[in-house]
Amino acid sequence: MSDLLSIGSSAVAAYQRALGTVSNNIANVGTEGYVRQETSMSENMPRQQGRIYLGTGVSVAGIKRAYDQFLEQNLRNSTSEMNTQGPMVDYANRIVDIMGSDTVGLPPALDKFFGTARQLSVDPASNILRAQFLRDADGLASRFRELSTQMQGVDTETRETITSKVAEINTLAGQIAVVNKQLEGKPFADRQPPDLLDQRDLLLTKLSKLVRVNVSTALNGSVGVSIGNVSGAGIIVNGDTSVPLTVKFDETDLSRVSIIADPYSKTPQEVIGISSGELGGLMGFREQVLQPTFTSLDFLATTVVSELNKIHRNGIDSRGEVGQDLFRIDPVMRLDPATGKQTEINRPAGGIMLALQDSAKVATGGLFRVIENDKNLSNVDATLTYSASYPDPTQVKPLSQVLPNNPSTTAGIAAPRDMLLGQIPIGSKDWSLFLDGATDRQQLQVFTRDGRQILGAPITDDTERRALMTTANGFIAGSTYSTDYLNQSGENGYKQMSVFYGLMSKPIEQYDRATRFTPEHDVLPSTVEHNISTGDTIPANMAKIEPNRLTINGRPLSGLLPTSPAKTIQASDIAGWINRAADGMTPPVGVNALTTTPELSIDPEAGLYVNGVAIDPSAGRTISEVCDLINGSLANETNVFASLDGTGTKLVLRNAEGYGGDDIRIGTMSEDGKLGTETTYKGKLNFGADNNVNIGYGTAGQAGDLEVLGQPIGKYLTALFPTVHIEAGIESVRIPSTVSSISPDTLELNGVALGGLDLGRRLSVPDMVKWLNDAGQYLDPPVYAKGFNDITIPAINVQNGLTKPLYLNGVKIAGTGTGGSFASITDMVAAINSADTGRVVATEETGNLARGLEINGVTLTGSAADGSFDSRDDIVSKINEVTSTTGVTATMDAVTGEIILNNQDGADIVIGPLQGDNALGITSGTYAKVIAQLDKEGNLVLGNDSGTDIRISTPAGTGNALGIGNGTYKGQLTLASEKEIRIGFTDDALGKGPAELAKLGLRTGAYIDGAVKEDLLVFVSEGSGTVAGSYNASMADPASLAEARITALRGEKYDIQFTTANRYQITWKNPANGVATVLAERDYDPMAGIEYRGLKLTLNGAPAMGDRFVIDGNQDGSGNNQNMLDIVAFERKAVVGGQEGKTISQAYEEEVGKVGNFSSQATIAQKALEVVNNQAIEARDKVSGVSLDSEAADLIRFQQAYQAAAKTIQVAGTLFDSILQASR
Amino acid sequence: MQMSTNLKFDRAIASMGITQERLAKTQMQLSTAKKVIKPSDAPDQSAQITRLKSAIARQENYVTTINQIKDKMSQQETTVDNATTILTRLKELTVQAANDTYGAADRKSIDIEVRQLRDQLLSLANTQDIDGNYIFSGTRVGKPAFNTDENGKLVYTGDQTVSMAGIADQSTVDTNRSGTHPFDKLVRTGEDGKPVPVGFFQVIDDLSAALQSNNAKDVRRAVGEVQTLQQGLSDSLASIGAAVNKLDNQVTLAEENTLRMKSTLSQAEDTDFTEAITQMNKDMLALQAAQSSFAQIAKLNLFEYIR
Repeated sequence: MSDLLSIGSSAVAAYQRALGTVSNNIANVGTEGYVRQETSMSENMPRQQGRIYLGTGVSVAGIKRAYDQFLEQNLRNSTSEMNTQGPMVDYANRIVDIMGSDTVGLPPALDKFFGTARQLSVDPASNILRAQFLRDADGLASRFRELSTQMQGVDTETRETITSKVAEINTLAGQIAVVNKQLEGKPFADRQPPDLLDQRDLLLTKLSKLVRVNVSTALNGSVGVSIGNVSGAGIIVNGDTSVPLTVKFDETDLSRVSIIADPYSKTPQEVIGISSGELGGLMGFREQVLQPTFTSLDFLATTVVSELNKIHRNGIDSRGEVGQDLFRIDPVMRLDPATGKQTEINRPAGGIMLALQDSAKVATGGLFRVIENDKNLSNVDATLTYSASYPDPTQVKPLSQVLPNNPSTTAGIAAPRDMLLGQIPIGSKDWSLFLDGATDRQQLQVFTRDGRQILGAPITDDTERRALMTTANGFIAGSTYSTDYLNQSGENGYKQMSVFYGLMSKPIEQYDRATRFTPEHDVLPSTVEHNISTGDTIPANMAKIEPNRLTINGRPLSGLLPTSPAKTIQASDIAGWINRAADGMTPPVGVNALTTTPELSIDPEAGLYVNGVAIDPSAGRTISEVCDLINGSLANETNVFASLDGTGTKLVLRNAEGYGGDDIRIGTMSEDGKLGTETTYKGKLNFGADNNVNIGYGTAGQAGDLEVLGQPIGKYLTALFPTVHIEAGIESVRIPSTVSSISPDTLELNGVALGGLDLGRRLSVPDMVKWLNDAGQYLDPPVYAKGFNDITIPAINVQNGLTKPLYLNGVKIAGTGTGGSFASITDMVAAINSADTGRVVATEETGNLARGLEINGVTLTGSAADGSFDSRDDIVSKINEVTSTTGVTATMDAVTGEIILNNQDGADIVIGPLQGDNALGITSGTYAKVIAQLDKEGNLVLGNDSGTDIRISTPAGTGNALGIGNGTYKGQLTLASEKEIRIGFTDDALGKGPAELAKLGLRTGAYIDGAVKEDLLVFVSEGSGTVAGSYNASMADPASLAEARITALRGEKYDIQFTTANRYQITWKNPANGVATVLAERDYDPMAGIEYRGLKLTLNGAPAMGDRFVIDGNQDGSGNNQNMLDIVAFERKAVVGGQEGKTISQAYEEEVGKVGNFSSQATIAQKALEVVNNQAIEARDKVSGVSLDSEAADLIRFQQAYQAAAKTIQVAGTLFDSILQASR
Repeated sequence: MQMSTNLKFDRAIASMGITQERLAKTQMQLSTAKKVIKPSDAPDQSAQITRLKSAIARQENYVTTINQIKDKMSQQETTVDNATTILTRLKELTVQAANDTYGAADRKSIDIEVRQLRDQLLSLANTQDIDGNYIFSGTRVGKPAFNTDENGKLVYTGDQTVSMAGIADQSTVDTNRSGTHPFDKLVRTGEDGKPVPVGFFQVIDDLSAALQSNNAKDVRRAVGEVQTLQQGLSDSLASIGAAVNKLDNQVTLAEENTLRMKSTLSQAEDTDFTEAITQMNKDMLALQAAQSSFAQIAKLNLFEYIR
């Protein structure tokens, strides 16, 4: 109905609504997040009347929030950006304040430290300044710690802030999810209650302060929220659910802060790309400031510690000792406030401690000093410096790093001619170097770095000398050659070292060869023999006794295990073990064992366990009743026998009959009758008073092995085996096959020159044996030579060759198989041993009746007038005439005319004369039978005891039954003596000595006995060879080697004397006996100064002949400040970032500067972003904010409209009245 | 442009707050006389300030060090100076004794004084500093510089190590002296015509022996030798003097350096009072203006007019 009244009333209603909205706006002017509301009105549908439309009034279309989504988003983003800078500025300023502060910052402490060091350098002997120096060093250390602590404080604080910010995010996300749920009911946003939407926007804005959020709005106004820069990831609100976040910190990398979404689900996800908001700011601070700054602080700390320690260790303290570390770095613990656990963290700056407490130990002085001689004619002053970097370790390698510690030929390494093989490092011990198979003039050569030759043969050729003595080979530039100490030992030797060039064998104690110990067991610990009585209780908890540790009367004992894995070895086990091993010995061995407990105080009324058997508690029970109980009803269960001690108050248990030596276990009983704690008692062994028992060490024996038997008491001997002899022995390799002579006066045997050996033919081992024995038997003690020949043929070779032919020494070996083949290896052994391989065959053609003949040392005289043989028959008959003496019989083969000699018992036949030809026309020498044996691995061993050649052949020259090459196998030599054997070279023949030695199948050795007192260089000259060796070198690492060098250098005194005005000698005198060694002799170069093993002496003028300077280890130079000057110099030394780098202070200042710049930039950014944020606030506020002025205006406006509408109603009423009146 | 009531108030309060903060800071700068109170006030300058402070500390330490060295030097100087005086007297006596008119008895009586002078010289050569260290023993400061050896001869028992100390970044000075430098040896031509080195005290002992044995030739020789010894002392004195001179110059230099750096430091971190006071007045005015204008503006509200 379109009439005045209804129009009026609709307007009144509408404006009343509008006024309500305005007053709601006014009312909420102070409400956070409130968005101004506007009433929107619309015209009512007009009513058509005929051709006209009549208006029907107004109605409220809705109440709208004055809201702009884009402005809102803009506000959120700018809020995030601005809040990023806050924590960065605040915390960066904190760091600047910490590091730049006078009280906590590093530079004042550094200044103080170096200042005191400088003062101390002026007066190094002052105790007050020394103490001050330590105090300020401590100050420096504690300053580092303080800095680190403060920084750790910032670390902890930012951690906690981040954790709480993440918690806030979780809360806000949860609240948004709740709002979303409430919004679910309505399909469209404009139908939603405005206060819900206000709340939603407020929560989002709060969230954006913490972290930048990406918001997606649904039609109904609900929002999805995600963080981070990866689309589709980092969702924290999804519909009505929120995803919780947690944070994880990395202890080693402070910059790593991981925000984990949904940590308790199956798929926790790390949120990446958080860069804005307070959270982003905090993370940015840790990454860009805290971590790098802390890292550089730690780096500075480690640099300061290592560099200052290095300098300090390079000086000497007031007691003349080498400096120790000044600082140390202790581990730093971090307390996790959440768990209360301490974890070690890598923060060196936080752990720096002063390592020295004694001010006398401040190393002010230099390691070395020079003293001029009083008698110097010139007035030259000398200055001394030392550089530890000498010698260059990359250039000169310690030989112990190159050469395996194994003297065996096979372990040798190739040694190129005249090239440095390596350096025998100072401080190492007992070197033996061997050159195998030396040829011609080849030598092992050992030099000092200053050209003193210690071992080898003199190098007479200038060219060769120049080629060898190069700096590349480790020689010092300008060093001269000297043979003054060549191969000299003792007082004449270099630094009185004990050396030997040649071949040497030291006597060692030797036992029964069959069961010889390995060298480390050569010196035996004590051994018990005879009259062994009871020992102590055996050790508890033995799980195993290894085999071959012990012997019983010389018979090895196998290993022993307990009766069950759950038990340990009991005395009864050991007794049984020994008795089994001694089974059948005469007189018989019977070891028994018994376990007896000590006197036990027990509570007789309480329950207890004996060997696992329970004895229940019983009130009023006495100790003797317990005793009876055990011996009575329980006797068969416990297997022990109980008795009381003398006082009748204590219990003693021992094994029952038949259980001697078993463990006895006593256990307590708990209240519920269970077994409580149990004590095990072990037994003792009894070897019997008159037992003939010897316990010794086995092949794997070690000192202390007797303990497993409880250390039985007996007579202790120092050695085990009945035949002990001391012997030195040398064994050669097979002698070369082509040796025809050994030059006279080249070799010396224990100092006595050996004459030549030339028999006009190739030499065999027996020749050499005879030659050596001729000289050796007159020595004191005698040196005995012996020959042998052993050829070991692997069993597999023989197996494969059973059908092949075999000739030994020209005699066919025929087996029992078909056609003379061998049925088995044993068949072959039998065949070889029965064959007459020792016979001598002389053909008719070779004979020469004019020559003489000796058989086994007996000279035969022929029937001719001049004593020569008149026919070959004569030879045969003359040989047979002396058979009773020589054992040799001769026959002549009627067909071939060959004379065949045989020794009755298969012994060797020696044909002479050794020099030249004999009547038989065969090679003089020894002919021996070949003996075959099988060794314990089943290999075939062919051999003889004289070392004569063994010839292996086949008629066709094809493969033989042994599967080794056809040919003559030369024998080997052994030398033995009670004392040392030395084969040296005579001075005249030094050059070819090693080659001569090689003819005997012997190697040449260079020996240094005891400590090596200087670095020595090793070469092989005149051809390349193979060098093997053994040594005792404990320090292979460069650090300890460098330390050993300094110690050695400081321990000695060097005398530099000018022999002429431009030539000097460096001499060392043995303080013990005053014998001097000339270490170096060089020309003086004023430009280069005088260098010796890292020491450098510089003279400020021309020295005069006879001038002397003494360099020593500065043992009493307490006024020396050299090292303190080095510490002072460290203040201005570029140690960070290489040569062109920065000093410690500069590096630190740069770090402060970096943080300062960061803070300044962050401050500028913060200001700029504040402006942006203000604009965003204003823009949003323009739309959504409540202005009281405009509300007042609206109030008046709507009030007036309301009043007007009311007037309309009044008019309608008046009109109605008028009509009513009119109709009356 | 419409501005919400809340924003209007917030802004006014914020701007007043900023001005107040600035005022407080200026007031602090005035009361402490420091422009940079804590490093974060000028983060970009704090490194420079630290460096300057370090450099100043080092220069001041140099001055301390130099004074320490000067103390040592002056002790050396006094000692050598005293020795020179004694040697002058010794020279007089020697010249006197060399006179042919003097007989054996006269020479013997002169010898009594010569011996005394020698002992005085020895005690000077073995002078100790306050720590009990011998000042002419090189770095072997625990041992007297001159001591009798197994032959009963006085020999130098110190070493020749000369210690240096830094007195400026690029400058060092020798701080100790080996006894053989003030108390030099000399080279005498021996009987066989070969040069023989003779120690300082040996020369005097030889003189004393010559006086005792009335050996006029040796006494005459001593005249020249004592002259040489004195020359050695004078040389040392000159070198000590030169060193002290160098030290004095260096102190002046170090003090100048300190002053220069301190003024640079002052520019960087000290308050410029004129500027600070002007700034404070400006800020106070601004604050007052902000406060009174806010009170005025806050009154302008439409509701005031709805009656």
